[in-house]
Amino acid sequence: MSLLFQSISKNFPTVGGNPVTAIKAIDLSVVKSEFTVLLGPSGCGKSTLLHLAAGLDVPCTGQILFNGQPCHMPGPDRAIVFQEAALFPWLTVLENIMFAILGVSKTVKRSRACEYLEKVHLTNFANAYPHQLSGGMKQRVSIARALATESEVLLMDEPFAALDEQTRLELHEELLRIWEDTGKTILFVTHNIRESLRLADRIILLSARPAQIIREIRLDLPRPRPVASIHYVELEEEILTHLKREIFKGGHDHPYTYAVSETPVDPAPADNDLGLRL
Amino acid sequence: MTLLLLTTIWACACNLEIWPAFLFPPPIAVTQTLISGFNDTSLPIAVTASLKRLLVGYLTALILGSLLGIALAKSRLLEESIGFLILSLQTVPSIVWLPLAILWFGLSDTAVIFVVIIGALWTMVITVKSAVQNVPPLLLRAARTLGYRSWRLFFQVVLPASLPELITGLRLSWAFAWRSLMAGELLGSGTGLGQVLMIGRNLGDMSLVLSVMIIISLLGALIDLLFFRRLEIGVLQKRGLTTQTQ
Repeated sequence: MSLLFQSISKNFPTVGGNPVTAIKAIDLSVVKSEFTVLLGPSGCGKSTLLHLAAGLDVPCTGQILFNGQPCHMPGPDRAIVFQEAALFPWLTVLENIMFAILGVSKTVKRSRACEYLEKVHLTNFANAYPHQLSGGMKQRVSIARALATESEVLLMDEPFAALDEQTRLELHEELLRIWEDTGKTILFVTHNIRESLRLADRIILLSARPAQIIREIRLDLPRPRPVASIHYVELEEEILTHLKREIFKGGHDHPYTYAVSETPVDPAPADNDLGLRL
Repeated sequence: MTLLLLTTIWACACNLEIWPAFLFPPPIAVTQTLISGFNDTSLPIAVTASLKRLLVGYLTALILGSLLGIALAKSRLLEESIGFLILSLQTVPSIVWLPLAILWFGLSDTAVIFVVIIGALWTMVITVKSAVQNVPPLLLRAARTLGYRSWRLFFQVVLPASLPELITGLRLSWAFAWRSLMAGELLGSGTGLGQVLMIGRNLGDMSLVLSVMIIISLLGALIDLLFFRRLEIGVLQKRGLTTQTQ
C-alpha cells in the first residue's frame, strides 16, 4: 500500500457564508506500482484530492498516509505534474530538471538531469529556455523533472488536458513506457474517459461535487490497448452512463464538461452515439 | 540625427531673438561654456560630487526598500498597519523633507543624501512588495513539492521570478533619486551640479544653466541606456518576454 486516503473530506469557504463540500468521505488505497486514474466530471474535486496527497492543502477530516506517514507538507517524495507545465522561465531545460535534484554535487546533478532528459527524448533541447518549447515539450520537461526527484509516487493533475490529440497520444505512450521502466506508483487525474481507458490499471470513478467514489473499474488488459474496439467502446458507454447520472443529479451547469472523445468537441446532443472520434 | 535637428531648431530660435542672447544663449555659447567648464575641472568636480551623493543615497534606498518591501509582502500585520502610510508617503515630493533634513543634519551632504534616500525609498518599497506578491503561485507550489522551503525558496524562486518587476522598480527609483538629488542640491549646499546651476542663475549666466541641464539629461539617459535598459532586455529576452534585441 503506497498512498492511503482515510475518510477524506474537504470544504471550501465561500463568500456567501455556507462552505462548499468539495470532497466527502473518500476512502481509497493506491497500490504500489499501479497506475490508478481518478476519473470524474470537471470541477468535481479530483484535483483537490491530488493536491491533498501532494501536501499542498490539508483535508478537513481524515488523513492521507504515504508509506504510513501523514502527508501534511509538500515534499519531493511525492512528485507532482501539474496541468500547466510549471517550469521556471529563467532556467534552461536542463537547469529546470537539475532544480529537482538536491543534496549532490553540481556535476552529479547535471549527469542525472541528462539521463532524465533522455528518457523524455529532449536531449537536443537541454540548453533551450522554456518559452522556446511547445506545450507538449514543456510537459515532457515537467515529467522529467518529476522523475528526477526519484520519488516512489508520481501525482499527475490532468497533465495532458491542454495538449492536442496527437501530442497527447505520443505522451501516453511515453508515460506508459516510463512507468513500465521505473515501476512508479502513478495517481493520475483526468476527465477524459478515453485517456483513462488507455492508461489505467484501475479507474476510480468520482461523482460530481461533492466528490465521492461511485465505482471502481479494474482493467487487467494488455497495453497498448485498442480503445476503438468494441469492448472498450462498451466500457466507455458504461462509464459515461454513470457519469451522466451523476452530473444530472448534481445539477451541473454544463452537462458536457467531461470529454467523451479525445478532442474537446462541440456539445453533442444528450442522446448521441457518444461522439466517438477516431 | 535627432540631436542635430534639435540643435538646429535651437539655433534658429535664438536667431529669432525672442529673448536677448544672455537669457537664451545659442548652442555655440553653451558648447564653449561646457568646454571651459571641463577644462578648469569645475564641471567634472561637480559631476563627481553629485554622483557620489546619488550613489550613496540610491544604494541605501535600495537596501532599505528591499528589506521593507519583502517584510510588507510577507507580513499581513505589517501591511495592514503601515501599508497605507507608505502609500501616502510616496505621494509626498521628497524635497518637502529638506527643511527637516537641514534641521536634523545641518546644511551638509547628509541632508541632501537623506532627501535622495527618501525620494527613492517608497517607490522601491512598493515595487519590491508587489514584485514578491506577484510571483506565480504555480511556480511556488511546484518548488514546494520539489522540497524547497523558506530561504532556499526565497533565493531560488521568489527572487528570480520577481526580477523583471524588480528591474522596473530599480529604474523608477533611480529616476526619483535623480530628481531628489537635483532638488536637494539646488536648495542645499556644497559642490554638485545643483549648486553650479544655482551659481549660474545668481550670476545671470544662462549658458552655464543650460550646460548643467544638458549634463543632467545626458547622464540620466546614458545610465538608463547602458545599465538599466541592458539589464532589462537581458532578463526579458531569456524568458521570451520581448522580441527586442540588444
